[in-house]
Amino acid sequence: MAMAAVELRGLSKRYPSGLLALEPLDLDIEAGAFVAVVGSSGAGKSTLIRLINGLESATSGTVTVDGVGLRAGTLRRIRSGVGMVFQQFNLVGRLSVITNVLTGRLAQRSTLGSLFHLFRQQDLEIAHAALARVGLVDKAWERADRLSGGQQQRVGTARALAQQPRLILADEPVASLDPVTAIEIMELLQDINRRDGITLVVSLHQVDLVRRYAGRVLGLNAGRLVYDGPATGLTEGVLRDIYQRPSRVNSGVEATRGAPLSDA
Amino acid sequence: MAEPPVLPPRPRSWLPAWAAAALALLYAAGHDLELSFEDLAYGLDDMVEYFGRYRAPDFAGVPGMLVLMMQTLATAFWGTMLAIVLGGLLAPLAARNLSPARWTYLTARELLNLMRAMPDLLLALVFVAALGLGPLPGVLALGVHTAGFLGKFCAESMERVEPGVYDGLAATGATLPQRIMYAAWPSVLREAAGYVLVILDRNVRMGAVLGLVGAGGIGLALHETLRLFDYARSSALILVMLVTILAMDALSSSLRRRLG
Amino acid sequence: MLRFPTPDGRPPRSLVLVALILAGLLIASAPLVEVNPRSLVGAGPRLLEFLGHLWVMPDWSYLPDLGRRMLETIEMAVIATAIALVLSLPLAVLSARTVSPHPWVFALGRSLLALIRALPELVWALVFVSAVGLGPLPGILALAVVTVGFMGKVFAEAIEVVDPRPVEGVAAHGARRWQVLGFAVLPQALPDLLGSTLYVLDHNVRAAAILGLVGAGGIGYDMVMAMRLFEYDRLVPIGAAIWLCVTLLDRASHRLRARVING
Repeated sequence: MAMAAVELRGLSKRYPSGLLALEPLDLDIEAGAFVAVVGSSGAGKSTLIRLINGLESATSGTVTVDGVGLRAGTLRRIRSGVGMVFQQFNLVGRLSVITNVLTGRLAQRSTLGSLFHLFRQQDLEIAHAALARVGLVDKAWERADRLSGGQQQRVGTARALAQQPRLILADEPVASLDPVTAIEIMELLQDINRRDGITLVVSLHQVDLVRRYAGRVLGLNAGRLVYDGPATGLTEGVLRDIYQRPSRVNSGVEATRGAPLSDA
Repeated sequence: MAEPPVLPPRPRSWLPAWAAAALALLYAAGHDLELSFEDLAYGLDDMVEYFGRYRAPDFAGVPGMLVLMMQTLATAFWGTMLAIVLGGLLAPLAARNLSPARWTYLTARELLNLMRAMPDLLLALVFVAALGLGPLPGVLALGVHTAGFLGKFCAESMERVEPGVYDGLAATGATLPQRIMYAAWPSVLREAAGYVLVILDRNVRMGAVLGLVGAGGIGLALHETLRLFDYARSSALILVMLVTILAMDALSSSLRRRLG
Repeated sequence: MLRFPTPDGRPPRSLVLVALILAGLLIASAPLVEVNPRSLVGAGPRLLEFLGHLWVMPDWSYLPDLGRRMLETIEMAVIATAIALVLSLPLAVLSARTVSPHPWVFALGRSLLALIRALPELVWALVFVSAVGLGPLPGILALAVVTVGFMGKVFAEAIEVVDPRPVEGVAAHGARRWQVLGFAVLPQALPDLLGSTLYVLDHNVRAAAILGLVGAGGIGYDMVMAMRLFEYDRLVPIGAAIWLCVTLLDRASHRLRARVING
């Protein structure tokens, strides 16, 4: 399919406090890509990712996912096709692993039965398959909060998979995990990307993981996109551009990017 | 030898001022109510003698009393169930991070406050006037009033749930009712069960006196026996009430412990 | 075919059990409570009819009296709370396992507190009215007694969970029992007390509003009389006044408690 998985046009986010979290951005992400978003804390990685499925609302600009524009009316439809994996896993601790994975099917079933935790056989099979994919079938009936961090993240991934999405967003998915477990999760995500062709947009702060798994890298610094290219292009100079704290006066750089100036 | 350094001036404490103001307020209030210490002092003597009249409970009518107590328990139970339904429906709407719009949040919250503010006995008065004597007005009064508490407590619990849990559900495209049933209620279930037990406890206590407004239960019987100066029967009634309330207390405490 | 997310597809066992017990209790007690289709169906229209009666102009001439009564109600609550505060302190000291002079005293104290707390305020009010006659005094006594039961327990528990290290510190210097109490135990337990006092005051205003029902002072009496005499033009002002007072006090105590917690 030639259509891009994600199209961003003039997308920006300014918080009510005045902080500009993301400067206006134009971007296309092609289907099947593995994109890493990097930058220091507060650079806008999380904001960018959360803008794609509407967990953050944009101040200006548009988001188009699979050809559908993101707005109030299409929010649920888009979200059902976009899975998300979180840094803190964001599972419902008290519910069983399988129920957590089944919540990935909820968008397809907004009926009364779903409110009573009733599912169709078909949904149960999809959830089972997702759990099998992440290797946690034996934990299906256990309470989610009894699992280790790595296991919980795998459940979170299974939940995303159960949606049968075209795109999976991952907001710092391995930041709360030890290095070995982190690699397990990254391998899983890479496998999902390669075998199922699901587009992956992942924010990471570990540069070595970026080099190892990402195809394309978007580097953000204080809300501004300072790098957009292959992972192989991450030289010392580029990394400095991305991670260096910006100075107060940046007008020179802004002028060259053509962003509208407020005065002068 | 040099002089020791001078201590900094002692910081002004507002405590004496507060204490004096409080005492003045109390004196004014007591004066306004025409209370006098002499009355109380004389009264104390009388009271010792008065309480002595209760020392020989007459348990003759106990079966009848137990029936009344069962009615009280039933009223409390139904009232609590009503509170669960009403409070449970309003609680998610009164949680700032779940309510679909600001006006639904404010409306639900104010409605719950309204239900909480009216003392349930006065609500019972109203319901009796509207529906006639009997236990049903009592059930409604208890249910509506405690729904206010239950709703407020549960809403606050839901607001305390980590926002990430709600995000996780929202990201899958779940609707608000689904988020409520999968993220909100499961996360606050233990606390909510504890609140329900506290409310049940309280409703048993209040149920005992609903009879005074004609809404059934054992309270009316006590009113009668006291009016007739039948202290023996009165003390029996009070004992029955006491035993039942303490038993419910113990039951709900042990249930709350099992919830952990 | 719909299924639950459990190994056998049926709802979890504990849930079914609880549901069955509740349903059983509800059905069994329904006749006691006179809850049946007939009574329920009739209730709605009758309630609406009653609400229609309330839709009248309030009796403005009654307002000064109303204000006085509300003031009386609040004063009752305040005085009762103050008395209870004073009385509950020594009782709490006796009923706290860590500082009680003797385990029997502790057991007796705790049981006494539980007993007086168990009976509803209105029952105590009935008893005190019978003892000292009508008026605000029996109401104050009733509120005070129940409040002592509650505050005594809260305070005793606060004393029991006090940090033992400052206590050891003071005692190690040869302080006598009451000195240890005054300088190490009580100062730690006191802040808790303030928060509980505000909560209790809030509760007591509500309770005081009811006690008038049995002649123990406060606005409850006015409300019963207005109901009995069908003076609907007074009911709404009374209801509104109670709601207003309780709400204002609730918000004020909420804010005060927040200030106290944050030092």
